[in-house]
Formats: sequence, C-alpha cells, structure tokens
Amino acid sequence: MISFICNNKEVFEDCPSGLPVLDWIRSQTALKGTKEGCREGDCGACTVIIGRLVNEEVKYSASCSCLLPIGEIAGCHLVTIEGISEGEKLTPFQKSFYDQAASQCGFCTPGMIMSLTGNLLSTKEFSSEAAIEALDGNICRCTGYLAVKRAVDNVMKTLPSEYDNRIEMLIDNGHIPDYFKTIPGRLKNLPVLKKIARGPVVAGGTDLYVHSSDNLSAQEPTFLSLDPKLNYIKTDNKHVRIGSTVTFAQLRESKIITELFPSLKSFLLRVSSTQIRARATVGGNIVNASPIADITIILLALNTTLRISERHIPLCDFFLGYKKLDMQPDDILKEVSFPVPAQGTVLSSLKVSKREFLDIASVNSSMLIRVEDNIILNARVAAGGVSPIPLLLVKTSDYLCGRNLTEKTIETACSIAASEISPISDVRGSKEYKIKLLQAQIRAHLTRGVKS
Amino acid sequence: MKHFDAKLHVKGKSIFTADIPEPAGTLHAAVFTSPCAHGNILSINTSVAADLPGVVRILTAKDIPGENQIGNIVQDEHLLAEKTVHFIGEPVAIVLAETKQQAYYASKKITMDLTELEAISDARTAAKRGDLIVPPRTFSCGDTDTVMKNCTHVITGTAETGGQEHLYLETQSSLCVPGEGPALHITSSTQSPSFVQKTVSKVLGIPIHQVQVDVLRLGGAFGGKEDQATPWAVMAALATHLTGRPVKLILSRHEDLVNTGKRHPYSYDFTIGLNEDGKILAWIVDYYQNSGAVSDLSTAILERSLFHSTGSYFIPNVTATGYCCKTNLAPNTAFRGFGGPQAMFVMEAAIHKASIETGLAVQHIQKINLLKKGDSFPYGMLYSCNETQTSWEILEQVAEVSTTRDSIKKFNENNKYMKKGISMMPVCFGISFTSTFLNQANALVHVYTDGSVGISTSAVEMGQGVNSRIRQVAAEIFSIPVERTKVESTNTSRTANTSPTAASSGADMNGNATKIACEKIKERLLEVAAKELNKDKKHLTLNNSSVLCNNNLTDLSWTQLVTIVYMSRISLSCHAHYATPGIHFDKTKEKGRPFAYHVTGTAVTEVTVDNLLGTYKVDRVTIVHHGGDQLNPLLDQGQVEGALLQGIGWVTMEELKWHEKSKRLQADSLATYKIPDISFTPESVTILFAKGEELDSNIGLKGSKAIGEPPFMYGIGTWFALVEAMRAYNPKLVLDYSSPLTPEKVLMAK
Repeated sequence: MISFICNNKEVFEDCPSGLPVLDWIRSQTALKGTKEGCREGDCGACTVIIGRLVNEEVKYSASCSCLLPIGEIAGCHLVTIEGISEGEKLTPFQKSFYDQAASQCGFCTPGMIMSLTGNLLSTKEFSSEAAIEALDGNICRCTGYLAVKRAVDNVMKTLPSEYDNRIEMLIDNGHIPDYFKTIPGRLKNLPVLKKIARGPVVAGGTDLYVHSSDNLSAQEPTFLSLDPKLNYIKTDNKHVRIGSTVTFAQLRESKIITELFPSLKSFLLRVSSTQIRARATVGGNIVNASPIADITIILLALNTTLRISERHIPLCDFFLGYKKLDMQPDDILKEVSFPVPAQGTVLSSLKVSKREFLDIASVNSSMLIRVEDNIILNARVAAGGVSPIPLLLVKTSDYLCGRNLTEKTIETACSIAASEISPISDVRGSKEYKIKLLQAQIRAHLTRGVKS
Repeated sequence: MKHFDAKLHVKGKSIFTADIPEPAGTLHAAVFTSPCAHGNILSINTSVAADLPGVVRILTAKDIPGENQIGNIVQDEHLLAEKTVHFIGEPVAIVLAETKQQAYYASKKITMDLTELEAISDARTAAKRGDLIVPPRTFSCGDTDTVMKNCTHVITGTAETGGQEHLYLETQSSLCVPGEGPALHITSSTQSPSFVQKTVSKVLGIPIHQVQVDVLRLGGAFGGKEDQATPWAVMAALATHLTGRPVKLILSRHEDLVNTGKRHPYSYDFTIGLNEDGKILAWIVDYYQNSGAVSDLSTAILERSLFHSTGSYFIPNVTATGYCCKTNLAPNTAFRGFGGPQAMFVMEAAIHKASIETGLAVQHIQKINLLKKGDSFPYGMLYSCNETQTSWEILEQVAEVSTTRDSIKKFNENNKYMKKGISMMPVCFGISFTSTFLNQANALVHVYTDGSVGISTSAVEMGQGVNSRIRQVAAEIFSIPVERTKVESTNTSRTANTSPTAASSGADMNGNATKIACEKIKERLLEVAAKELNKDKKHLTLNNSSVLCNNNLTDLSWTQLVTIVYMSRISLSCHAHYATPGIHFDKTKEKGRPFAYHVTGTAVTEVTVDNLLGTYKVDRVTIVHHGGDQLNPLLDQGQVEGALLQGIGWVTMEELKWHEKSKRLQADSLATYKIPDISFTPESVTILFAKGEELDSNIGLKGSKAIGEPPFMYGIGTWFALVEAMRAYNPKLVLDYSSPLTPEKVLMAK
C-alpha cells in the first residue's frame, strides 16, 4: 500500500512502487488534465508538483510524472492541474494564459501552468526570468512561446517582493487553493506503510525510466533518494563531499558549489530541465555511464574520487568501457568528493547541442584551469561524446600544465586532444564534427573560459 | 476577442481523444509494424503473441472484410501489409488485448520472416531509377530556353531542404465504439473526419452512413493528421467490427515518430537568368520530392510547390518540373505550407547565389523582382495588388533596415568569431485547396428555445482557433454574447462529405458557411418579429440581445423572439453550404485561377553566430503581414508567431536522419529530434499587421485573411541571415544551400 495526498485527498493505493505516477494519474477518471506527450521527460506535458515534508515544512518542486515512480511519492503531496484551482476559478497564470491566448491546442498548457506554479512554490525570488527558466522542460509545438512570455510577465509583476509565509501569500493571490495550508499537518498524520524493496536500485531514475519504464513499472525498486544519509554537500575547505543522491537542483543551489565555481550556476541550466534537475542525482549521472553525462564531465575535471560501498576509486578509473563500470551488482555509489582547488582556479564548462537547453550534447567539456601571468599553472580537461566513456584528456591536461598561454599552446593542445579521442558518427554529429567541436571548445576554454 | 477553447485548456478540462472515458469492455490495440524498409513477407508469426495473457485477437491483412486500401489521391496504400513491406513502421498486424500494456507487450513478440529487398531513401536515386509515384509534372510560361541563352548572368546550382516532424503534442489517437448492427462511432484525432469515414466504409465493406466519425479537438496537427490519422482510426474500426467490442488505439511517441510521415525533404536543381540590373528573366527549377513509400498527399504537395515556384517574384519565363520520388521511408505528408516552403527556399537560394556570383546585393535583386499588380504567375493567374512591395517598403522603414545593416557591419568589424547577419524574406502564398473541388464547407446552426446557439461545421479545432472565429461570426449576426454560442464537435452525421481542415482555409470556408446559415435564421426571426411588433421588417435589427426598430429598443428580447418563432412552428435551424467562388484550374493546360487570393508579407531577421563553436541565436524578427480586416487579432498574432518559430525550427535544429543502411529513423525520440523551446524564441519579435488589399467578405471571412500557413515561410529568412553571419566570418565560404543549418553544419562549413 502506498499512501500520499493527491490534491486535496488522501490516497491509499495498492500498486507496484515502480509504477510511473503518470500511469496512476491517467487511470483516474477525474484527473485527465495531466497529459502524456513523450514518456521521456522531454516535453513537460505530464508535469506535476510534488510536495515533500522536510522539517515540518513542505518543499515543493515540479517534476515529470512519466519518470517518477509512485513509490517515491509515498508520504508526499502530489499536485496535478486539477489541484491548483477549485470550481470555475482560474489562477492568475490560468487567467493570463487565457487572456493572452498563450494556449493554442491546449495539450501542453496544463504542464506549463504546473511548471510555473511549481516555480512560485519553490523559487528563491519571483522574477519573470526565473519563471521563464522554469519552462525549460516544457515544449509547445504550436510554438506559442511569445504569448506565454507575455502571459508570464503579466503575472510575475503582480507578486509581492516581500511576504511572511509563502503558502499564505500564494493562497491570498489565488495561485493555490486554501487547502494547501492543511497539507503539512495532514502529511504528518499520513500513515506511511513501508514496502519491501526487491527490485533494481533507482537514484532519481530520470534516465532509467526513459528506457526501462515498462520493465520497472511492475517492480518494487529500492529508491536511494529516500535515504537522507546519502543527501548532503559539505566541505572542510580541503575537500568537497557530495552525497550520491544530491540532485542537480541541489547542486545548483548549493552555496558551497557556487562560491567555488560561480559560473556553474548558469551552466547547470544547460543540464536537462527544471523538472529533471529536481530529480536527477549526481550518483545516477555517474553510474548511468553515458559517455556524454554532463555532471560526470565536470566531476572528472574536478579530480573526483568516488566512494563505492566502502571502497575509494578515482572517477577517471571508474569507467572501463562503454557502460562498463568498476562496480559489482551489490555496490552502491555513496559519495563523490573532490579537492577544493587553489585560489585563482577557474572551472570552464561548455556544451554544444542542437538546441541550447534540454538537449544532449554533441560534445561537452570542462576545464579546471589556473593561469597566472599568462602561465598555465594547472589544467585538467575532460570531455564527453568523444569516446565510449566520459573521458579525462590526460595528455592534453599534462601538456597544458606549465605552458605559456599562447596561440601555439592552444593549437598544440587541440591537436593533442584530437589524438586521444575516438568519437563515432551518430545522430548527434559526425566523427569529424565532434573532433572539430572539441578543439573549438578547448580553444574557447583557453580564451574565453580563463577570463570568466 | 479570445481563443475561447483556452478557458478549458488552462484548467486541464478540455477533452482529447485519449481522455474520453473508456466504455466497459474496451480492448486496447497495439500495432506490429515492419522492422524492415523493403522486403517480401514470407510469414508473419503471431502464435507466441496470441498465447500471451490478455491477448484477445491478432488481426492481419487477411482479416480485412472489404478492400485493404487506404490511399487518398492514388490507390497505393494498404492498411496492413500483404506481400511486401515498403518502409520501417509499415503496419502489419494489430494486437487486441484487455490492457494497453498487454497489447504492447504482445506486439513486441510478433516476428516476421522476409526476404530483404534493396531499400532507398534518397529522392534523386529514385528519380534516376524511374521510381516515381506519378509522371513528372511541369508548370511553364514564356520561353526559358531562348531567354536563358540571352541573359547576362546565368547561375546554376543545387539545394536541399530536410523533412520536418510534426510533433503535434497529442499523438495519433482513436477510439471506436460499436453501435447497432454494423454501425460504428469513431472518435479520431483527424483533420479529415470524412476521409476517415469513407476509408472505414471501404475497408470494412459497409455503407458510409453506418460510420460516424466525431472529432472534438486535436492536440496540434499541422497537416500531420490530414491523411495520417486515417490508418489508426480505420484499424480501431476494423477491430471493433471484428470483435464487437470498443477499441482504443493510441500511438506512443516513439511509434508516432517512426510510423508516420513528415514534411517532404526536397532536393533541387536550378538555373536562374538575370539581366545586368538583376532583373530575373528566366527560372528553371526541378523539384525532387522525397515522397516516401506511398503517395499519401505527395502529388498535391508537389502541385503546390509548382504553384509557388516563383515565390514572391515576377518571372516572365519559367519552367518548373516536379518529381514525386518513391523511396522506402514512411509516406511523407502535409505539413503547414504544403510544398510552398520548399519552393520558396530554392527560389531564395537561387537569388542568394546569384547575388554572390554577380556582386549585386541580395536585397536589391529581391526588391526589383517583387510581384506588382497585374503580373502573372506561371499558372496564368494575375497578381491582384501591390502588397508584396508595400510590405517590403513598410518593413524597410519600421525595421530601420539600412541603419541595422550599418550597425551589424560595425559589430562584425569588432568581433572575431561573433558575427551578425540579416536577411529579408518576402512571402506570397496562395489561399484555397489547389484541388478546386475541396473548396466547399458545411455548417448546421441550431438556435435553441432558451436562445443559446449550437453550431456544427466541417472545421476541426486543432488550436488554430477556428471555432472561436466561427462563434464570433454567429454571435455578431445574432448580436448576442459569444458565450451564448457553442461550436459542437465535428461530426460526419451533422456535416457530411467534408473537406479536411487544411490549406489555411478552415475559417474562411466554414465561417462563411456559418454566416450563410445564421443569416437565413436571422431573416426568419426578423419576419416573425415584424409580425409580432406589427412593423415593417426592413426597420428591424438585432442588437445586443434585443430587437430594435429604427434603432430604438422594442419590447422583444432575443430569447423572447426565439420562443415566439418556435411557438409559430418556424424552423430555428439551418444547414448551409459554402463553395469558394471564382476559382478554377485546368490541369490539362496547367493554367487557371486556383486561388481565391494571396496572403503576403515580409520579414526581416537578424541573427548572431558564434563561429568558434558553431552555435547561434535569432536576435530579432520584424514582420509586416497583410491580414485584411482582422477578425480576431489575438489569434492572428499567435498564428504568425507560432508559424514563424516553427519555420525557424525547420531551417535550423530540426534534423531528420535515417540510418544509412537500414533506413531506420535515427531521430526517433524527443531526445534526438529537437524543436524550438522557449529559450530559442528570438529576443524580439514584432509583427505589424497591415490591412492590405480589400478582400471580398464572401471570400475571406468578413474580410479577414487566412493565416495558418503563410507566416511559416517567414522562418526561411533565418537560414539566409545565418549564412550572412557565417560569410562575415569566412567570406570565401562555399555554400551548399542545404537546410537545416544545424550547429554541426555551421561549424563544418568551409
């Protein structure tokens, strides 16, 4: 039995915990507003808001219900489009979308409204910019984005900059109904019945559910994200330690990370979407072993060490071949850690894809570099999409260390990089393109990146 | 004025086919499709699947009681493969099971033995082998051979445009429920309810009147549900017919991407001849259309390419020839613009190439060749106004094109890799189905005794807002609030023998049919009012839910009048038919007046390219668009903005790739096929609607102009602006005029 609150109603459901929340929602006659568009987290039509009780407070975030196992929302507040306005009432976003004709065919609209409402429930500051960013996981094929922007602008300027209680303020402004006030108390009283996990290990599952949803939906997976012991970002000023279930969203919001690498906050917007970043985990990104994994490439440049079960292993030695890992079936990746770089070190990250946001890179790369008086004191560069594994460019990094940062150095680094990669032609680009693109990125790191 | 449907959308309360509650006993269908691009079928092995839990029945071609034929223009398409498969994704068998998961799982357990045959995916290869769907077709005027010889500048070249996936957010969906006897009720996500109805009748061997097709709304279509919603609806109908149970068939995104056709990729050869001033004297163009494995709507789409072979320009000597090339890809189909964008792209490519080779500015060549009033198109129709030129001239002023050009030059001088580019893109698009007979529509209007109005038409609402426009028309004629009107689902039992909602003509034709019906009812109402008030009918009007006499309020309200009419036993209903007047086309001569009118405008596009990384963004688009007397400016704005962005997507990031050997679609998920998102939206988009030429209000709905397709082609300007930004970085750039211009192509350009 899995218990949660759906909108304003307690639900006790006897179903496999691996079942995607979308499938449960679509099976409910009164909840047809949540749409299935792609089942791979790439369209946002199935966006819902999940509220989780953390220290007496409910923390909300928007999520793609197609990639979200129902077991993960046990004890949570699941909000669908039906749960944000009662009767004939329209929330300010709903009214503004209607006024601006920001909804054409209407299939993507509920998802957009949920992303925007999710943003109000979770964002640090209210701005049009942040609200539009929150739509980075929502596709509209009528391509009514300009009207959407106008609709969002009109709402965002009506929100107060100061308030005591967010939920109360949002209720007062009609963004959510009154019952939201009762949710923390009701969640606390909700009996959570533990299910015995027997199935595969899931840490976020935002990629696993793209490929294996059919297989997982009848199972009882182990949800690592539910283990608070694996969720932390801390530093002793020598090392940064990150629990393996830290989400991309947490990474982006972390003060520790932002102070060390200020450019990362905006770069992380290039990684998946708001809905996915709320769920995708650092550990999942590594173990999933995609040769193009955005976070893994950054961590490689940062000289990361993994703690797997009780073993330590450098990240650069972890990948043995395409999707082959130095890891046993029972092993759990628990922590990633990397040394705090010396003062003056810069992390430059680049990603080129067909579309700038919510796309998989043709080539991505990260360079950790320290330049003083035009001398490269230290450089460590990693790249994705250029080999069967996320690759540390050892020779290129070695070559750069200690050199003068000159045009000749850049040229040589580019040709060394080309010699240590083995890209293949695929849907993300030809082999030749990937070589040229990596070289262009190395040039960009060494010219634009070092200045940031 | 609003998009009234959106009130339900924003609350998630609008109902799409997949949202309809399934009747008890509904079976779920999953389709087994060909894994092979071309092969002879030896056997279809269904026994393993048939034994799986929940599986009720598996259907193949031999179960079809009527004709196994779903071709529209050409009868060349099987519902289910018989002896040969012609593309990956071709339907072969239908699995019916108690749950969707069971059906889907079982469909994966079907296998097929076959002998593989050679498969091709390239249009030119097909043309060389003579694999054409119909014989080549040529539109011509003047004498290209002689004139070309005497031109100062003769430039030849080739060009390519890629396909485009529709990616309507709602995948192909259908639900069939059995009725009495052989009767069937089908809900389908189709733009062509009558075509679905007719095809079901043919495949099942039952009369058309036994088949009712109902469409409430579509979650986007863009042409992708004009012909290609049909097979899935027919399969559901076949399954219901054979099992007696309701059947639901909804494609997954992956299935929809793989199994259905897209915008046609085209390959082009061209020769353009100009005099020394840049005046275009002769134009020879060949279109190699990649039609896919069966004809679908390809021949009609090619025809529209031929109609638009000169774009927005007057060219006195033209020879345009088109080839529908048969390949082993899913049958390509209608997509916003319907062959027009392809014809306009190659026209612009030729002008661009001519500019490079002659040293004349692109905008100079474009401008001096723009259509003028009285110019004739190669198909004989005369251009009736000067809108093309006026839109260009207004735009030059409002977008400050020459100042912008100067600032771009300065920017480019000061930046090594970052370069800006600018382009102008004039659009002139013919409105009407080019098959003249399709230009007809029906409306059935009921006024109920409480004064509310129900309207049924042949138009399908798919987000374009046609229903809002229709409601506006009825509300205005009856002078009642729009809230008292409702547009019903599109249903073949209420409006019969309908044309697809396509060719941008839905509002014009169905709105005019509604207008005729409402006006007839209004006449009856006023006759009764005249009797009731004892006044002369000619002094009476309807105004603000009341009857006025000589503009003075009478005691008679709208609702009272309606009741009196009913009590007088006079009909409060009317069925009306509309046929677009004044159009004709003689296919034996390829001459006539196929279009009711043309829609025109011009766009200026500014972009920035990072020539180091090959990435780019669209900075600013300014458009002057001739919209006539706009009926619903808010909807028009959405149509232009949406079409523009879709057009930009077509020429930039939307890239279809097929595996070279297997011909399997590689961009078969949303992770690999990318469409514009909110951040790709240009920083600034300004659309200025100009009224333009007066349009007969019996043609354009109340003097407004069709708006669905024409603005798509403004997006083509982005390709040419990007190329300018690339040439600013590398003046020696050799252009292959190949679209889409992905970041890969930008970086790899030499």
